[in-house]
Amino acid sequence: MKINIRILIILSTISVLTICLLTSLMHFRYHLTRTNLVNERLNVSIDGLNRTLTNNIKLGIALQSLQNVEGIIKHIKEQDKIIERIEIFKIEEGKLNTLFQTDKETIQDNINTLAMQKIKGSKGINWFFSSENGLTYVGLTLRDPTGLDRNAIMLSYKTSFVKAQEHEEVMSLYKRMLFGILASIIASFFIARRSTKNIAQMLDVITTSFDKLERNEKKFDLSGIQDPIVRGNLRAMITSVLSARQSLKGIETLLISADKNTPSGKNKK
Amino acid sequence: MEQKNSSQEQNYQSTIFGIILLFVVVNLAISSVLYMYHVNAQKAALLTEISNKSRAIGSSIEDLIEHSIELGIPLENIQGKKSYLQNKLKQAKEISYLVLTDEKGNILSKTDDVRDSLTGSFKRFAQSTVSINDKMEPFQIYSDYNIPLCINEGNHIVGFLHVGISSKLIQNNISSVFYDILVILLASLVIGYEFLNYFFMNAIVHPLRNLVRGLQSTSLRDFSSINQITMRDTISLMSERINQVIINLNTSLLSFKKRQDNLSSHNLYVDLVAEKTKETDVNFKWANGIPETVPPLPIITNLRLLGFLIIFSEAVLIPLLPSYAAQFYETTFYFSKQVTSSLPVTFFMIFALLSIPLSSVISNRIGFRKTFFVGYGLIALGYMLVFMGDSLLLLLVSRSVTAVGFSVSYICFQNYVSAYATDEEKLRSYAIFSVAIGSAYICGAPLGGLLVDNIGLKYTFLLATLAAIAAILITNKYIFDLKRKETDEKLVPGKAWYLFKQPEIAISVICSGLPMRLLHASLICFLYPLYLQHLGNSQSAVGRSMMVFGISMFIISPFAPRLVDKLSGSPWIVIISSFLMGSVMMMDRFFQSTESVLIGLAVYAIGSVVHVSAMMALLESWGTRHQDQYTKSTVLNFYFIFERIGMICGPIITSILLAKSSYSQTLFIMGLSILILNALYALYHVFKSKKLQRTIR
Repeated sequence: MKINIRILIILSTISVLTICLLTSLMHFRYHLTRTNLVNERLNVSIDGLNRTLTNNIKLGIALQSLQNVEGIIKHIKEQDKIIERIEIFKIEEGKLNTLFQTDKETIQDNINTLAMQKIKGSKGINWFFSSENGLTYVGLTLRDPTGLDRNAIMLSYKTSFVKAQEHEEVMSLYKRMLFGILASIIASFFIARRSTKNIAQMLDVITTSFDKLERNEKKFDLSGIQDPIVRGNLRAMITSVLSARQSLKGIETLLISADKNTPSGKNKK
Repeated sequence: MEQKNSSQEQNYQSTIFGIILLFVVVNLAISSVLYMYHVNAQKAALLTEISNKSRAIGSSIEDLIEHSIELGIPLENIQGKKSYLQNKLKQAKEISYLVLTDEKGNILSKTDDVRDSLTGSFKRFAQSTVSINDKMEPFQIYSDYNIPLCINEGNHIVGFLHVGISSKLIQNNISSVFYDILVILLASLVIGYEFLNYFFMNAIVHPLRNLVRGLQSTSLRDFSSINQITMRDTISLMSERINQVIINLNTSLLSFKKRQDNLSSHNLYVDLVAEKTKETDVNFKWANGIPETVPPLPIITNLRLLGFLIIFSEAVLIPLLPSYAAQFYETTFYFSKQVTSSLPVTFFMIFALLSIPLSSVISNRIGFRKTFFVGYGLIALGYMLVFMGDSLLLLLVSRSVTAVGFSVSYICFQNYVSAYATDEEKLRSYAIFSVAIGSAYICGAPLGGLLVDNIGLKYTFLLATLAAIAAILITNKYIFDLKRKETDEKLVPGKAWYLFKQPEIAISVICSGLPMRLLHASLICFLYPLYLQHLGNSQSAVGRSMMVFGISMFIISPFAPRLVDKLSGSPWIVIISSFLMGSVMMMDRFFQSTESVLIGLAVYAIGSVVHVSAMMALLESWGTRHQDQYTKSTVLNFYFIFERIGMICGPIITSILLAKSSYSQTLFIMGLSILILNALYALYHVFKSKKLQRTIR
């Protein structure tokens, strides 16, 4: 494979990987920023509820004895169309027990486990996670005056909502990525060709010189070789080989004459 | 000849630089276009979502105000508006101001920092908004975005709530990805350079060197040997053509000599032929039959890319492992969080030390090529083990397997250099490896931090695995076993003990070698990454900070050997470099900031490269003075053992210190210890030189 083609392959591979990584990074950041903002917006939605419940906790009132909480969370759900459901939990023995919810569906065990992990692992009171069922869960931990995690509010929305919003822009981003890759491959081709011009020329001259040497020609043009070391050594080598051939030719000529001089039959010492 | 070769290499280096420069410019242009598009998309998305969030915040204020209006309180008479707005402002960092106006746009209440010049904008907005059904779109006022909300009583507007968002917020969100783009471009530059350099060395420079060697010998009329061809690249095929010419000439001469032997002694031409043949034998050097095959020159620089890939795979992970390990500390009953953080590094160093003899045994049995396969294979396996689960035990097993692989391949690297390199190439190989470490840290550490922030540490191990697999593929193509030189003397326990009893060696090991390696394992693999996180830096920022270490190493590596050569054999370079490192660590106590850590990293990198070069030179000169008892490599191997002990102990000692004191206190104590040991080392040399002067007198 030609040298410029190999350089093109190396440059193109690195270019493609770089551009793909850059595009993935931008996509990821875009998605993450959008998701975070959606989550923060939803946190604001439940912020009023959070303060009400926290005040009651501070007054020592158990959440389950509060009136009209279900009505409040249903009102919040109606205010924002993307919310699928809202639940309020009590944290007992490492599990979430539902106190209030906007619909009667029971929370799945794996969601319960993930939520508990997030509650334990998060530094602040806000947390979120996405699950395989296509929902993103945004939560808020309610701490009692001693700092222990006693209750939590969690709402869910369809992850596809965020993805649908960014779909068009992401497709455009990846289209631009493809154009970028094509442009970089074309540019790499020209870079490789330009950079290896001297090397390619040198190799052509060397190949031509060897061809001429094989045909026993006497005239060689080495001006195409820029490297003085290669040029000097090649010239000296050609001279040496031609000289050796000359010498061997002399021996051959004498041997031919010797063969003609022998009487017919075998040559014996 | 060597000078000519190195100037030829320099010419190709400038070609490589030229290619990389153009490559970077092209990629920069393409990335800029992608980035500009991303900025616009991000701005639109951010503005939309921030508007939604601000509307949500504004809605809660709006609800309260409308509730008061429903109770019959006019908007302008509602008390406590300003303090209420100020409280709301504190709750949401995105909002820069809140302004309540009447239906004509006159300001009724506002938070602080609202310019009077905005009044005109609010009035104009109020005039253009006629009914509650009019769309309330965000609009820009100077450097802020303004989101208007309508306050209504029934069907008519009684006022407006304006929520302001600073455009700096949007800029900050967008600019965070800018640094990551720069990191990726820098990584592509470094990786591109390494691969291009590797390609040029293997496909152009070395085949050309072998070709020139063949040309040179034939130009000197020497047709007795041919070059062994191991590759099938374009230039190697030209060497094959030279070989064919030499073989043809030898074959011709051989056949002529056979014909000469068959000539009758009575033949008139027999003397002429003999004379001509003798003249040919005198003027040219021929093979006796088949020309001797000369093996190709070993390519020591091949090891550069291999070293780069393996150090890159570790550089991606090293700054991030301590915090990854720390998350498991609840499951361990015996260790504190700090000790748990240090366990991956400690296990790595222990297993690396224990597997040192393994490499020599393996490479003697199966050769260097297969030993490299074993080493890199174990490294890749170690990284892949992390995917099997999430536990401290699995992490430690993974690090142990990786450590064995590292030790095997690193020792094999050293033995490969010893076996094939000339003395000049040996020195170059140390410099090559230092540069490879620097390059790997320049791109590996920030890339690792960026990937961890975006895809998590587990998937970052995937990148490290790919680097190890690439090393295996490159070994397969370019590393071969050739004829070895005499192997060096082995270090046996008796000789090791005797070496340790030599004062100069013992002092060097205890006061300099061991502490410096202890420092390296502590600072780079453990303390600095955790300290940077503690100072509030994200993983990406930690990775970028560790890049400073790589850049400093990269810059100083070519100069350190020359500096050491100029001040040949002087221990004062070792002392000054250690002094600098210790002082900078102690000074962190007074600053305790990310900037002081960055300075510490840069000074440490420069100091460590100079220190290692100077210490190698000192030990080699000691070895030369005692060459009747020891070879240089025996002395160096002895020193390396203590270096590795230092690397094992470093993280453990540091974690114990961290458990009792803060990060800056730990740095201070370590810096002070280095200074004290350094002072003892300096005192020893002062007494030694005074004793020598007295002896001379």
